[in-house]
Amino acid sequence: MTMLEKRPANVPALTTTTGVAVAGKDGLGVFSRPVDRPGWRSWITTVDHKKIGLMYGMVAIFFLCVGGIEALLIRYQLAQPEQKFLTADQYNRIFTMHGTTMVFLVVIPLGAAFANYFMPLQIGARDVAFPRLNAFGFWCFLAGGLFLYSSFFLGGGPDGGWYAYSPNTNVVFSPGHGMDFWALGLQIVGIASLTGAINLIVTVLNMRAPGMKLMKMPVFTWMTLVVQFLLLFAIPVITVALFLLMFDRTFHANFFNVSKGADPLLWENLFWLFGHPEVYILILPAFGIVSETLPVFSKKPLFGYPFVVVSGVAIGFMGWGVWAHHMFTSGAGPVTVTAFSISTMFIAVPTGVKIINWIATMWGGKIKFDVPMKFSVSLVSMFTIGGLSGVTHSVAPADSQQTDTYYIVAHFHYVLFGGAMMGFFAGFYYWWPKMFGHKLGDKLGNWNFWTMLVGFNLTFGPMHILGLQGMPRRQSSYYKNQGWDFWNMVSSIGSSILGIGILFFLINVWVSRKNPKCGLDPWDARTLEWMTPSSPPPAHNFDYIPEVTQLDEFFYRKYATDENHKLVRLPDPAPLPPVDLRTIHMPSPSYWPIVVAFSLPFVAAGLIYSFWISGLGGLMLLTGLFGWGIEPSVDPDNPYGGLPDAPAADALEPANV
Amino acid sequence: MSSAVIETHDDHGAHGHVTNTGQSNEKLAMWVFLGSECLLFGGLISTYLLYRSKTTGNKPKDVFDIPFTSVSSFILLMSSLTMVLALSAFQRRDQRLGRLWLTTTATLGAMFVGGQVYEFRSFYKEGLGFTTSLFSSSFYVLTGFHGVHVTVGVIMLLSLVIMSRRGTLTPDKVETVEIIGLYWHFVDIVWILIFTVVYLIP
Amino acid sequence: MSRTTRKPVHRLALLSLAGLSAIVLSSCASNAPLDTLKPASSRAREIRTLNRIVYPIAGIVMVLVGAAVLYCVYKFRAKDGDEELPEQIHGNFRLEIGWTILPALILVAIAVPSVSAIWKISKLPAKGTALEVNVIGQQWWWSYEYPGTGIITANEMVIPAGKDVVLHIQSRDVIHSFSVPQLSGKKDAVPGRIHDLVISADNPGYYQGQCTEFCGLSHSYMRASVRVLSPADFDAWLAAQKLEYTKPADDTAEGRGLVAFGKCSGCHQINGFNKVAVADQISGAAPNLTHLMSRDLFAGGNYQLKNPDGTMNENLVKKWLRNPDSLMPMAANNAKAPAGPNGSNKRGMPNLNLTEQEISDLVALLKTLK
Repeated sequence: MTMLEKRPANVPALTTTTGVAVAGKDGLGVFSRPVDRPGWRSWITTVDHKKIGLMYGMVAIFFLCVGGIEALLIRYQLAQPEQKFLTADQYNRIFTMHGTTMVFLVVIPLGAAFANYFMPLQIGARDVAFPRLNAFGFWCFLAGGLFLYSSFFLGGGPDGGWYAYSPNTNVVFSPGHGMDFWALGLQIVGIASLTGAINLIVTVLNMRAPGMKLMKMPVFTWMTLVVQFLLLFAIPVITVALFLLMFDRTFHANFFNVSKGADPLLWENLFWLFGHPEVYILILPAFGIVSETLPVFSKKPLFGYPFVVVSGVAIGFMGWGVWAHHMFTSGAGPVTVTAFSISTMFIAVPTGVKIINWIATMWGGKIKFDVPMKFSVSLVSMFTIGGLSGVTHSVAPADSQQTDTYYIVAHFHYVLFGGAMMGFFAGFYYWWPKMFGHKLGDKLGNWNFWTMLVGFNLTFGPMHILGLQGMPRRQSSYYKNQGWDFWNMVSSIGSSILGIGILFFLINVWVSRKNPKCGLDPWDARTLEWMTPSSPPPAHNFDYIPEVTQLDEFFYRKYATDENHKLVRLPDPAPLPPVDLRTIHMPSPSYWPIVVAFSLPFVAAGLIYSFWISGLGGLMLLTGLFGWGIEPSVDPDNPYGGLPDAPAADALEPANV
Repeated sequence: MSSAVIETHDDHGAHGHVTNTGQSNEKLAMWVFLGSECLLFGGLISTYLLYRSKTTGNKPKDVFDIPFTSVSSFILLMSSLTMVLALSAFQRRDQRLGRLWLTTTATLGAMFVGGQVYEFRSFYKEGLGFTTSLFSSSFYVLTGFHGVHVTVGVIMLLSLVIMSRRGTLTPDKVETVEIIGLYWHFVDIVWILIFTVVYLIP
Repeated sequence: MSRTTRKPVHRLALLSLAGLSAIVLSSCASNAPLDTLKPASSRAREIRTLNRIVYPIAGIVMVLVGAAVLYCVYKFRAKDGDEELPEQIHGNFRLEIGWTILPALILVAIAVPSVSAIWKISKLPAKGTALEVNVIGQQWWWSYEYPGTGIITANEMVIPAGKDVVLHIQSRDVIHSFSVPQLSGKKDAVPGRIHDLVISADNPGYYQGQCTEFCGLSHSYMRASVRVLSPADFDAWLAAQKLEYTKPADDTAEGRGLVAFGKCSGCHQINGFNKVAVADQISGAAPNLTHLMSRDLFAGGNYQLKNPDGTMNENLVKKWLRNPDSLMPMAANNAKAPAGPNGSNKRGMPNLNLTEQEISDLVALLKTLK
């Protein structure tokens, strides 16, 4: 909603409750509206979807390292039987945070990072629908993540597992503050996902380039849309669950108090009703990424585009009907078990369709095995293993043996690492030239790929065997005479190799930063994000918004069929005249998203410690919301979002939310 | 702001601009958000249904004052009507009448919230505290969440009134009234559901 | 990377694959008491039968997909300098329908036996034909009650061979899961609910299990064991368990032990001496000690109570009495954990700061509890 075109004469400079003027910029120092200066300050106040995407990515990789170190600690403890490297208490906290971190602070945000950066580019938009809301989402994610981890410095991390089954998470059984931090921290992180979902859904539905019908959207954009709908409906369910837990722990409500008749299965149902769509939230972005890379590196269009899209949508729908397969041993009757067993089996169908279509895409192609392609192919094969072990779980009686053993751990790591992470790494290598103008090094990239692939299989492959041999999950140690020693050692060695693989990636990022520029279209790609006038793209993304006539629009602007019905490369089109930047209005930077987002941890901390902290946070929150509410999305004094000396505007602004 | 300028210059789907769906970003966002809210209230209502019979001490029928709540429900329903009238007034560019109806809507909403506060107080006096039983915890959380939604709605309505008074609710921004109206109607519909589930079904 | 350097890599991969599979096969022969693939009862065998259907199918699909991927990688690699585009195929409707239906058919083939097994395994035997045991989980041990007999034991369940046993699985605090893989699948112990699980064992022997739902601090130490006796031995065991303890004389070590036991009697019970109310316990009462020496395991089922000659392993028991936390982590007396509203530090066995004299008296008493 637009606010002010020009400030009407009868309205004085708006002031906040603290009496600080927020509009106008004379003599206000730090309180004047920020402008897009270079340097770190531009990141704090940015509303640019690309910068926000990069920040999502950077923070997620940071948390990937934290969660990875936790994983290494777990594997070090379990390398040999009866180790005393970690106490049971430390181990419980570490595995809880490993799971929580990897799911909520790594894989979801990496999906958000790619969606934020590339979805608007792929649909030919200048930004997302609500740029400040987008920034707010990122800062919520960061604030929530930091809040969650602050628990380790404030008396012990959460100790209830990432799934936090009640009543083990009630105050009686988890008396420290860890689970309070967990419930409130995830609530804050959830705000990021919810606002992001609304924002990105509206962006996809409303802001596509002219001519881009839904069935002409790239698959990555499609998968982003499905994921955001899943988040839209799944996040409120976990929100309810977290509120109930918080009310129990903080205000002594009774939702999980069994002595008053509560049913612990309420938590299980709410959690998994969120938790299973969550699985697809984690994996579908990676499916989208490889649906982009496989055609590009095979030099063929995606085989069966409509089927890949529809199967993705089908997974999104069916994902809501399988949650109770996490609870086959929780006492459901045979009718329920049968229903969920069958629904779980048949969600394998759309997944299978995707895999076969990817193989068909490669079939008959001329495949270039650059690093992104290597990661993509490994997703296809590794995810297949995870999918098939998933089918073995859907057989409910067999699952009653497998559940809560390492067989499950093996399964979901093949899905989430072999699937999601492999896809994200494919995305890093594929889109790096677009994000930074240069490729990541090939040699280190290959080291990165092979160590990760080998390390991954050595870590998680043996867990299938351990699980079938009955080794339960979440065990801080195990005894000698169980027959588990050898494979645990293999798995631990594998995890070190995997860790080295990630290290190679980080080294590659560092070493490659001075690589030569590689051109705008280094992979001969097919989609609009490669049409931007520079790499990294300018703030306004496209000088001219492309008109879309078909799927893979960019590719068919480069190639056309000749008289022999063969595709031949067209000569490069004549460069378009430079665009007058004064005709493009970009949203202006703003302080308010970070102010509002960082007030939330204070509100939350107040619920744990003392209400006056909440009051302080609440004041900050209200000030922030008020300032945000009266601030126009585009600075009337500086409508280009650039430096203040940019030419004056004829004033137009995008959404003011 | 002429629409010609918008179409050549603005790709952001702001008001008046052609978006792919034909709906403005803000209105679409509200619809999408309300979709999410359905699941929030769905979760809370399910929790209540699971726990409504699990109570020690006060049973639902002992504490509920159905006539009182019926009246306050009626007040909330009427506020949907006044909301429609407000929007129609703004669309006819009658800002003064629009303000009047908006203020009426906000007042009715505030009366509903006031009634809820009164109800909570009297339940508490009858011994139904937040921590008394599963029934009481889930009752207070469900109706409390709804009350917070109404309160937020009242604040938004009053902000619209202030905007209109200051002259910033220009005709091209009348859609804001419609969007907040969507939220308001949603909250009303949810209350019909809650009233039925919590108070009427024995 | 050129093709000439790749070939040795392939050979190496093949070799390591062969080596790996050899190791996998050999490892399956190792002794793993919780192995889910070595059933010792009809229901566990039912599950294995399912596995024998599902795993080969999954394996074949995996090999086919893997082979197709490898074939693509090998066959459709772009040749250096070949810049011509391959044939641009956008899809094939018939193929798509085919590979949508085919997996669905395979899954139907899996679903039919699965569903029939779900119903078969969950079917309870007719009333009166089976032994019933209440299996109650609490942090961090299992207790077993034999309804109608007054028998309560801990850490190891005793059942007769060749007979269906209906377990009524419950919990006194948080969610646990009862799992003895060789006898059947697992079943969660959810507080406020009773879940039935039918097990049986073909032959006498020991079958190991473990709590498989994370249940707090000492979850890894919550073991379940099932001792299967021949029907005759089982009847003898039942008869012995029904006896009350014999009161020792006052001036003996055992008698002093009974005085020292006063410190334990808030949680532990010796039938005929004291009675424990479970209500004020967060995690239920502690194991009933009336027939302690009839058991082989103690401390959550983690440790052997007896030496090979059948006498008590005194050193271990004394260590346990001095400080239980030294044998398995206990939340009780954990100074770091602030007491919750109901005195949440009453979880697990506390360190009672017993004197050495008390400990040796107690051990003397415990030895008499046969």
